[in-house]
Amino acid sequence: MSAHAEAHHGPPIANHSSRVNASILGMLLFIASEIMLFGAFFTAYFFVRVVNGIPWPQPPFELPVFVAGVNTAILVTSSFTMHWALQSIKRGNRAGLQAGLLLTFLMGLVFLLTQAREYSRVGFAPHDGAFGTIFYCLTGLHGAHVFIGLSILLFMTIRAFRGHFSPEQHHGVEIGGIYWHFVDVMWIVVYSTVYLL
Amino acid sequence: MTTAVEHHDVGPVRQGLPPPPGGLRRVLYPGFLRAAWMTPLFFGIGSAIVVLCRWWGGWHPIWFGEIIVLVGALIAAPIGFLAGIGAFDYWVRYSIGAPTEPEDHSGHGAYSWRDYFRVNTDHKVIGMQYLATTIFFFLAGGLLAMLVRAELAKPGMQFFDNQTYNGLFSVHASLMIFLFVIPAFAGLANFVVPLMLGAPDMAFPRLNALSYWLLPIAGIMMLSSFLVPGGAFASGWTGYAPLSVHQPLGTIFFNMGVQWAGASSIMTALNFLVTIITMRAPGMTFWRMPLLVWANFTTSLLVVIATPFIAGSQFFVMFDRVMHTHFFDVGGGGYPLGYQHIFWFYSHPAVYIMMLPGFGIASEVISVFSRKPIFGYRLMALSLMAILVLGFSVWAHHMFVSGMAPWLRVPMMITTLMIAVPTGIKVFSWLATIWEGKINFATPMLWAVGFVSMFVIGGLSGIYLGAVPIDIHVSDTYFVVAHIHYVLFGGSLFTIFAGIYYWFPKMTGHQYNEKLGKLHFWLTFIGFNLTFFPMHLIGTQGMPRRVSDYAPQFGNWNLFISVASFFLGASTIVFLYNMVISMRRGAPAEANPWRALTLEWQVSSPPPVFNFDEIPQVVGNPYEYGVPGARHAVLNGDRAATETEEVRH
Repeated sequence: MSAHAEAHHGPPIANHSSRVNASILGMLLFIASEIMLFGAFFTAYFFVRVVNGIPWPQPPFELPVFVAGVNTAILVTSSFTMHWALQSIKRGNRAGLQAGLLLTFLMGLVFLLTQAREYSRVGFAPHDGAFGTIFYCLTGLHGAHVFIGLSILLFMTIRAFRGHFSPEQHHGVEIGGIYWHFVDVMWIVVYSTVYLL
Repeated sequence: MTTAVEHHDVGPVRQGLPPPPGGLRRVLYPGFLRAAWMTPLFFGIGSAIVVLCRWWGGWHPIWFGEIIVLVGALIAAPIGFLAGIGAFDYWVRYSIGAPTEPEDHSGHGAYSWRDYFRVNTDHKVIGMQYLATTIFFFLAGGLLAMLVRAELAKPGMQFFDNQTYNGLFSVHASLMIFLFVIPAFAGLANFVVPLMLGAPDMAFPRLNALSYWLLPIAGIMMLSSFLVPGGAFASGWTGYAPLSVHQPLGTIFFNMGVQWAGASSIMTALNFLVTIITMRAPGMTFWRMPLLVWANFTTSLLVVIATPFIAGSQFFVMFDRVMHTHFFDVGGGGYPLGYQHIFWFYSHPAVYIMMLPGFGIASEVISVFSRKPIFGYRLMALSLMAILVLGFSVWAHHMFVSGMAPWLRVPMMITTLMIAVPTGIKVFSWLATIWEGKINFATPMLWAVGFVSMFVIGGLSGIYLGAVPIDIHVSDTYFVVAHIHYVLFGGSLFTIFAGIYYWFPKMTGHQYNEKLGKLHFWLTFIGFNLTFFPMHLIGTQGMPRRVSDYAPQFGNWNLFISVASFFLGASTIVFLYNMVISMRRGAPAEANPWRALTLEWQVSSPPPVFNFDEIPQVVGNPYEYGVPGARHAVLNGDRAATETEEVRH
């Protein structure tokens, strides 16, 4: 393994062979992968609920449909504030970016805390039958994604307050935002299949 | 997440990292020293989180070994190691909004052997790191196979008990699949694909570095499962639930090892896809991409879409074990067959993940060494896509005898047999490429032709196994063992060797020893067939697989197979010797020893740190061998290889 030839200059600027931004494409592909991970969990849900046909929710347990519905509304709203934050920085409105990110972060946090409280009061555990297993694993997988999304939001917020991002450079917000919208849409799927159906 | 591409043209270029600071500050400098204290630190943090949660939740005992191992040793400690060697440094600075330093490329390229042992963002260095690591695990997995064959040399129990024997073949298969075949292809592609595309690097060089460093973690995890109480994971590389749920502690080393290796391949695949889509040189349309790039494009799509399913299946097994959930527990309302469905929904496409890059390598090598354009270029690319699509519709052919819904059998049989069509297109295209070519049987070509012949045998036994009646007869016999080795050894491994020999001059700047290369091929080819062909026979006679003891009537054949397998194993020594001495003392390699047209051969051997002085202009197809005046690309004005006038038969 000999050393490479000496370089006296930086790399040539790569050709852009697509109009799509590389980072955005990367995030979209990552989300495709994430959707498949949820797909694996939904397959387990399908086997338990449809193939095995266990009652849903399994008596005597009940699901807090109303509280989770309010929680859904909070998460959906946070997607709109996220969008507002992105639009603000595109127009050069830093205060709007900061407020939007902060609001989104707080709403995501409220969602996660509400879910934690729901876990402690729902009255069953992951080991209480396949119903409990699927409930906890699907909502838990989603909760883990909310946690990752919140971390990304936190980093974006810190950067926004430290003066990063501009109308020309806002991929960081855009890409984090795409992830947050994904987390949001995924929750609508989880909520409909686990709580409503 | 930012691309380094956008930062590439800022700051002066620095060759290699600045020397580490002296004194105590050295322990804060990214590297193995920092990893040495951050790994235990993160282990402590992970364990503390477990203990706190259990104390808060009122679970007893508060210190529970199995969960400490899982969270502390298998999740937190590897993260600590990665943080220690500096895989996350840039992202941490970015996240907290610290001013980003102008890119000085100090993490790029290799100027001494030490640069191969750190987080390096150069795709060529990462490619070498991949190859060295995977060859290490190939040897480890091969030695395990030797132990398996030693036990099977005669009926009765020789050296190991049943559980140990099961552990040996399980770790053998897992290492070969997750730590050798899949990442070895990723390593070769890492080196070659950006060069072939005319790109200075991958789209996300830091992500590329991270995905390499996940790999040794996964491999060490799987190997170290031999050391834990109860021995290594022993339910096969398939790890069927509910059996795997109730196995000793070693099983979670498999569960987590697969997660790390899977994360590594998803990140690499994502990187390849973005690189191929957004960084092709001007003029390189999709229909001008070399077939290796096409192969890695389809493989990466498979990885991104399918790999999360094995992640899911291993999570479920782990949850059933540590959280006492009921995914696969009938008593609790679970669905045991679900494991096999979810597992094979990944693992059948994984067969193509382990094969399509090999198809790409074979296409490169066969065209170059036959001095002829590849036959049916577009159909070669489209058949890759067809395999990709069909590959998702055949998973239940692994489950014909599992007791799944009977109506699923015939549709799965039909789709399985349909895959023979695109695969057949490829085989016939290779043959048509060789037909009447000016064939040069150099080592890479030998491996490629050997691959085509062996893969046809493996493909044919695959058609047998795809047919429900035959599958029911030979299910779980050595016929299946023969089939998988003809496909993965005669298929994937032969193409990996073809690729290593083909690109060896480009990677190292030295020519390998041709005589030793040929010797290696013939020893392996003969040893391989002597080892695995008889397995077809004893398989159809009913010799079951995954057993350490068997009926005396199979004794003679098994002794023969074991002796042949030791011969096969010994042939690897020739390969290693050739690689080591050629790398140090081989004749200096020309830029283009094979007179190939693709872009990686148009730069020096080894390539310059940033691949190209300026991005080349692609002007034609990559395989116009024997076509006078044909050219694939123009470099630096006018330096690219032009196909010389050659008389075609």
